Amino acid sequence: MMDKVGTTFAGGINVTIKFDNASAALEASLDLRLQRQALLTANLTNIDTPNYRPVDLKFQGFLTEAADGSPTSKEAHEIMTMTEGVETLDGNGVDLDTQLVKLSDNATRYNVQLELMRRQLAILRYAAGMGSGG
Amino acid sequence: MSLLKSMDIVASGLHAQRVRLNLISSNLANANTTRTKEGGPYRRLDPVFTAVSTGDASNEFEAALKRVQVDAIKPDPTPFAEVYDPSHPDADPTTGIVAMPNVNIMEEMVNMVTATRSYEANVTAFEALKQMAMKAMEIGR
Repeated sequence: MMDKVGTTFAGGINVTIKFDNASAALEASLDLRLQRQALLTANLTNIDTPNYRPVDLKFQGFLTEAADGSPTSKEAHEIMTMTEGVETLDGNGVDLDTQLVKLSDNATRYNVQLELMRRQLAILRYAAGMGSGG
Repeated sequence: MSLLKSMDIVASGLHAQRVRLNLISSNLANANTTRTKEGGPYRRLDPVFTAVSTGDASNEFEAALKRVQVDAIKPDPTPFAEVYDPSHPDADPTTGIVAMPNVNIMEEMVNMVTATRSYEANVTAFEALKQMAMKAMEIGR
């Protein structure tokens, strides 16, 4: 009778696959990456709007919290308005290069995390098929 | 869905930059126009952009998320260029001076390059969003 999903290897270490924990962290992270992408997109869109200040999402603390498996809350992130840095004569603070780097960085991280999630589901599928490949 | 909303924002940016490019074309095309419906020479036009929140202001995220909107198309108040050309049909008969449009070709060209770059930045943002959406669809495969 098995009371818990896991495998005991020869060394006696019990390896439990915590799908739910990892998925929750990934899911929360993906969600925030998407929100950040929206904000960075809005910055690029407003590159010629007078007095527009670029915004960004700060969520490092939130990610650690999610990875710990503690309850996640969407309020943990922080929207920051950049007040310093370059500014054109019309008071616009969007720097094209900085924003483009942030945009592609965020998109790449999102894609990597999606790939992780995809592989995690593939492992689950493999296990569900008892190793027969799905 | 956030991705689709972002795409709407990009669309607003593309639209605004296109309006701007159209106005630049109009300014360049009318660089020598001395007669208009309103009377007098052509006055160059400029778009005025404003940032507009995409959702209700009580939501912090939606309030920070802004699309761009062409608020107005404003005529440039700078004075017309005065050129001495007595043979011009619109020249003042006594002084021989013609009022020419306040369009500066160099200024318009620089504006055109900036507008094109901004348009391209929006296209880049759109490409990134599209790629993310395509990748998200692969998740169940």
